[in-house]
Amino acid sequence: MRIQLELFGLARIAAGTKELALELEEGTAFRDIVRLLSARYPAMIGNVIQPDGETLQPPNIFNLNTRRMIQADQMDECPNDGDRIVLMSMSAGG
Amino acid sequence: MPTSTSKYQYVACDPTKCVGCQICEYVCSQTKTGEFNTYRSRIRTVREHKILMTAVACRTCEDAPCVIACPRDALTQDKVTGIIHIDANRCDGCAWCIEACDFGAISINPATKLAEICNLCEDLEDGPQCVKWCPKEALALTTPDQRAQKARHKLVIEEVVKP
Amino acid sequence: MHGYSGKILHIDLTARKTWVETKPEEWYKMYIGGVAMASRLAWENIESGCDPLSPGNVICIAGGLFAGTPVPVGGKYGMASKSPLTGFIGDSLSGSWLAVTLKRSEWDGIVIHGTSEDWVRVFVDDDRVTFHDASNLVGLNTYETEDAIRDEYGDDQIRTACIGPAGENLSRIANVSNDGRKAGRTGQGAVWGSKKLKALSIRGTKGVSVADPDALLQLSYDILQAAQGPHTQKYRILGTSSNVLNMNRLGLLPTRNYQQGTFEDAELVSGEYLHENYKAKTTACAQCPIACEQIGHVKEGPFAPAMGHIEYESLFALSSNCGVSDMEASIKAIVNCNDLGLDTMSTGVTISWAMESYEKGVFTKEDFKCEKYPEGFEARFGNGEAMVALTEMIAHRDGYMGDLLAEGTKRASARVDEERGTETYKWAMNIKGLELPGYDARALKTFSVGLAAGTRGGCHNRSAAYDPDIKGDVDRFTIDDTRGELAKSTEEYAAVYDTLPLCKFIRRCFTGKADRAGAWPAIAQLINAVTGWDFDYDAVDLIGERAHTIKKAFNIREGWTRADDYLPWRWHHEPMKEGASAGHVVTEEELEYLKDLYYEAKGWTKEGFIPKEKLIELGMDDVAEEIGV
Repeated sequence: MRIQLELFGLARIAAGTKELALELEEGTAFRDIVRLLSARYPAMIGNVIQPDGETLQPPNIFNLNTRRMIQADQMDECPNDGDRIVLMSMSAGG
Repeated sequence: MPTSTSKYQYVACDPTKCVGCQICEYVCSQTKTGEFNTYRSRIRTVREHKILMTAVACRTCEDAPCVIACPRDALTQDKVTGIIHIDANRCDGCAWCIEACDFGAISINPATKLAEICNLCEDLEDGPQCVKWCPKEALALTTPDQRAQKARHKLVIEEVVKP
Repeated sequence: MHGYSGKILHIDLTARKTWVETKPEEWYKMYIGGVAMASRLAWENIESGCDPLSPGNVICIAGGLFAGTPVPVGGKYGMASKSPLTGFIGDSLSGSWLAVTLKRSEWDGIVIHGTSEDWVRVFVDDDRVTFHDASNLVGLNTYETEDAIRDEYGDDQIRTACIGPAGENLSRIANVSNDGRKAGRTGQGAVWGSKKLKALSIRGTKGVSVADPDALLQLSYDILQAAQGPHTQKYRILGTSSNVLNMNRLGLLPTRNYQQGTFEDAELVSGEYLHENYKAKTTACAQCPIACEQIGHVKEGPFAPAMGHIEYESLFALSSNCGVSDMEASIKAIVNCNDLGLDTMSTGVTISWAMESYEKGVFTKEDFKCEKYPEGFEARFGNGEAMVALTEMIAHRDGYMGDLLAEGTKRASARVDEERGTETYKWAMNIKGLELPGYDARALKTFSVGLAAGTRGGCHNRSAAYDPDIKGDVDRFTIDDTRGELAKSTEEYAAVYDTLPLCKFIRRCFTGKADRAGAWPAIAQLINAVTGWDFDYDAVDLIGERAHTIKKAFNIREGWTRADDYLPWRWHHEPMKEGASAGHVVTEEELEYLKDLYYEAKGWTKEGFIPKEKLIELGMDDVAEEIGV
């Protein structure tokens, strides 16, 4: 399945790119996408991704198709073909 | 520890890392006096033009000019460490030492009006508290040689290796 | 008593005299500092029913419990007065060095009464207070004013809070500035201007001592270390401006005066773009180990030179919300506001009202005539030059438009609608008169009641209820009967931080979790290390409820009723057309239901008044006497 993954904030700086087109096996979970990112962009580990390589460091979070935020306990769910995910870091105030 | 090439250590600040938070000043004054008061800090931060900032403490100059300038011999310089000591009984707050110091590293106690200076927290096991606390690791206990080496390595990496 | 001197300094500008009020320890235990203490001083000293720009109004400054110590991010202070913008409590927070010098001067608070006949500046030099002619400072911008005073005394440890030309000209959206920080919202600058108070300078040379210095240092050190790690990364590297792309993606980025929630050029005005193209340095407030101030620098082009720190709320108001894609214009407009002493948020949202009014034919080009543009100009959305020009016009009340917009959206729209028979109130984006923040609450329904019921007006900082909505803890597009409790909970959580005060950016650095369980125990320890008191989780929690209650009580005394908790017309009637939040509004029925839930959660009556027993339970017997039901 094909997923568009957009990167905002620290994730964008660590990866040096704004957007990725990912070709993934069916049944790939959100957690697996995090693993993929930590392998491809080790610079994300520490600030965007936790040292375990598969958990997002809060307040970094996946936004799915603009409408839904994927909570920590939903990371074993799977996206669908054609989904658009944004890795963003929620920030307050200013 | 004094080395064969350079005798004295001092606390230096990297202005590219300093953010001007002044935590060094609170911690220094607390260590020396038991109270938080930047007027009693032996290290002082400076800010100019919104984005230029650094911190200054005694540079342990060789043949320190402040020692030479003092008319009452209130200042002495330890031959091994280079640390300046001020005898409060002799000091009368004349401020000639301050005139002699190009770095503004000597300050005046607002209550007693006598001179005060950094002594590298020589009596503490973990050394200068400002270095320990600086959140951006902008402060370091260093010697002139170490500063020069650091600058040379930085130059090589930034201008020779990276491009 | 540790942590406090027990003394409040009162200054009377009319008679040019001062006196000292002592307060018992119990009073400090209840009000602590920051916005709660400032609002309590406002309750005690402000003549009810007074015009906010009259001598009856009072400026109340309250220090920070942790100011002047190494407690990270504790260098903050609070300011309260009756707001010229809303007619209700105007409580603001500022920070950095003035909070430190205030602590060292050994005044827990400073209360300024009356009005000076001529422009005056006041100097509080430890316990000596002097009044000085300020005519040589009138017209200087905020930075120039601080520098001039510091140069006059030759002591760079003298810190000054002051107004710029905007406050001098009684703009209701003027702020008070100190050390590059601002008591930004509700029009504090106009109150100072009405008193002809140009500047308040403080020098404090005393040492700050605490009850348990070892405990304080240990706790502070641990928090300081944690503040270098992932819990503050987003603030340190990109700052809050990284919210532009986030809000845009969620369809919540106010665009063209809140007409839409997505901006086609969001990338060009994003924190990421700022970081890559305009960032000069990251700096810190006094006492802060995080360092979140992202300084943007425009070096070339029509808006150069301009350098200042750029935050999300300033940025949205003066970019997407005005339809402007040119980040250089945004930086310049923000810097103008900082220099001239204007609240960036209220200024931006007032300018966007003027732009929409222009595009809808309410205003003509000639309505924008001013000194610099004698022919006027076309104030369309997207016109960066117009946006910048308007910031200057507002600060100087220059021309018809400068004078009108200096009043803020509520009064400006009322005046225009009366004069021209128009309906510009429909797009005057304020609640109680305070212009809105950078989130569109048509699709943040918990937040909508937090904004509507906000005591100082529509304020994201005081409500904080956008957090559960945006994070997805609840469904932001619908309502249910938990939302009243939720809005109460977030606002009282925020109030704890605003009272100590501590900057909220530290909230994850105690245990890694930002919730009450993660933060209150550590905060209790910090309070006890300073004061020697015996605060626990519950005592810390109560700080927030008390803080909010004293502000509410002030409002009730000034004539607040349930009808004052409203949302702007646009949010009831005009859904957005594009983006992730399109198609939603908060209906009037929904709002009334949410208000019922919220008042009930607070323990108030259906009309939103506070029962006597509730106030007595909170230890506010005198308040119960006056406004309890």
